[in-house]
Amino acid sequence: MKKTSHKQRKTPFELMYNLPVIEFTGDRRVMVEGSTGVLKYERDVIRLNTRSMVVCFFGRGLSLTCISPTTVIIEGCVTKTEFIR
Amino acid sequence: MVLRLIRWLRGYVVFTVSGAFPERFLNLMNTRGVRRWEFLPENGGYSGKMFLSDYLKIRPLARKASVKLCVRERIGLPFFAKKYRHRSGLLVGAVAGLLILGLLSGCIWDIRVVGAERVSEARLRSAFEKSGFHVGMFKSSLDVIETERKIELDIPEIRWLSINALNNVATVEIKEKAEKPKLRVQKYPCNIKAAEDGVITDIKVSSGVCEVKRGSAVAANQLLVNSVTATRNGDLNYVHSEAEIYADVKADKQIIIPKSNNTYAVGERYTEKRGLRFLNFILPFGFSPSDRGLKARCYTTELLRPTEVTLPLGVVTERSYYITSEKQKLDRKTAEELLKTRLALYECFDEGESRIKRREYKIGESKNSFVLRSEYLFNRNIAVSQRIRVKTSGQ
Repeated sequence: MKKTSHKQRKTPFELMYNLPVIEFTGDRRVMVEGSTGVLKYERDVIRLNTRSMVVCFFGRGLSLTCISPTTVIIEGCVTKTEFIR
Repeated sequence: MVLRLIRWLRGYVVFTVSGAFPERFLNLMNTRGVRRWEFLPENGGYSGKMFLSDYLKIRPLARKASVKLCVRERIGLPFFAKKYRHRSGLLVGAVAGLLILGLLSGCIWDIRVVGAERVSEARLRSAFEKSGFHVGMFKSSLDVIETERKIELDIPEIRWLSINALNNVATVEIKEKAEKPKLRVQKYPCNIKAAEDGVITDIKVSSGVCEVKRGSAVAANQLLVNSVTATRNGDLNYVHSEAEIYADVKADKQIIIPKSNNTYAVGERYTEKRGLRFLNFILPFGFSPSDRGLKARCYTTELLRPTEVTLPLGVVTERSYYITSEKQKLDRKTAEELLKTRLALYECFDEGESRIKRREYKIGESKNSFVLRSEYLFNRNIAVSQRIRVKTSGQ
């Protein structure tokens, strides 16, 4: 059911290229849909693996408040985001 | 709050993860659906919280990710129960405490009466007891409507009654009946006759024809006011006579007291028994030797009242005063005083509505008693109404 809803929210473009959906709430909260795992988890950097790229969030006091097999919610002060292919 | 309670009931551990691949361990936990919270990075690893049941499952994952798990704190009911597993008395005490709490919560601790002005509280409480409504009964066994009906039947002065059992206090609200005014029935015709012999001093007639005059002597049962009056046409008219006829009346009174008699008095010596009262039960905890003989008992109940609510716990004291009897011989002086007192009481209560015009008394003595003979001249209302039955022709 949850997977279906993710697919429903994704546009054909995102589905075609397996792109993650990243939703920012200011610089305080980030929700990443389509995550496949956590590569690095530190206070000032969180690196997430997705199907097509590695997304890296830099900031201060970062924490993973919710982790499910496909979705990750990060809270803290995000200063920079990096996409690595 | 609910979440915290659930976590406490299930039991959870605060743990740290350190080692070669903590992120891999995190991902493995994700894929296996292991729940954890407050999972934060620390120096060279992570710390977090996890249910005890989940923590027991993650050891293979930790081995796979080459990390070391370390429990920092154990919180929750399973750990608490394990800690006190050898103290079964504690559990028994807790269960017993909960049972007592539940039991007492369902009882009535106190009965308050509101609105009773003429009916005494003692009479009301006696009626409550009779109808099965008492301190210590279960609220669930109280049939309010039936109890109210019984009390209302028992005490006719009550117009309306309501029992409200709120928490552990039952409040009885009472409305009393308004007293009926005495109606003067004046429908039937009646004459007024003299109650006793005397000389008339004053006449006040409201209705009827007066048959006597001031100063005339009358005998008992003599007609004073006639209810039959003749109209101008010659017909007879019957009225309800009303009058106050005052007359000087002679009366004698004799008071006799024996020269020696037994007098009973409550002495100062007493024995006391105490009991612990809980709800409606009394557990005696003090014993005192008691002699045979007449006793006057006095009960006092002191209940605990730390706040506005009276607790159903207190001390009942039963004090038994010994009654002493003495054979008393009266001397003449004491007898005279006693006789005079009794005479004064007679004048006050028996002849309270009469005016004393003259009083003469003599105190005499017989073999076994003192005798006071007094002669009075009272001035009082001697009018007594006597109903008459009128028969018309054909009846």
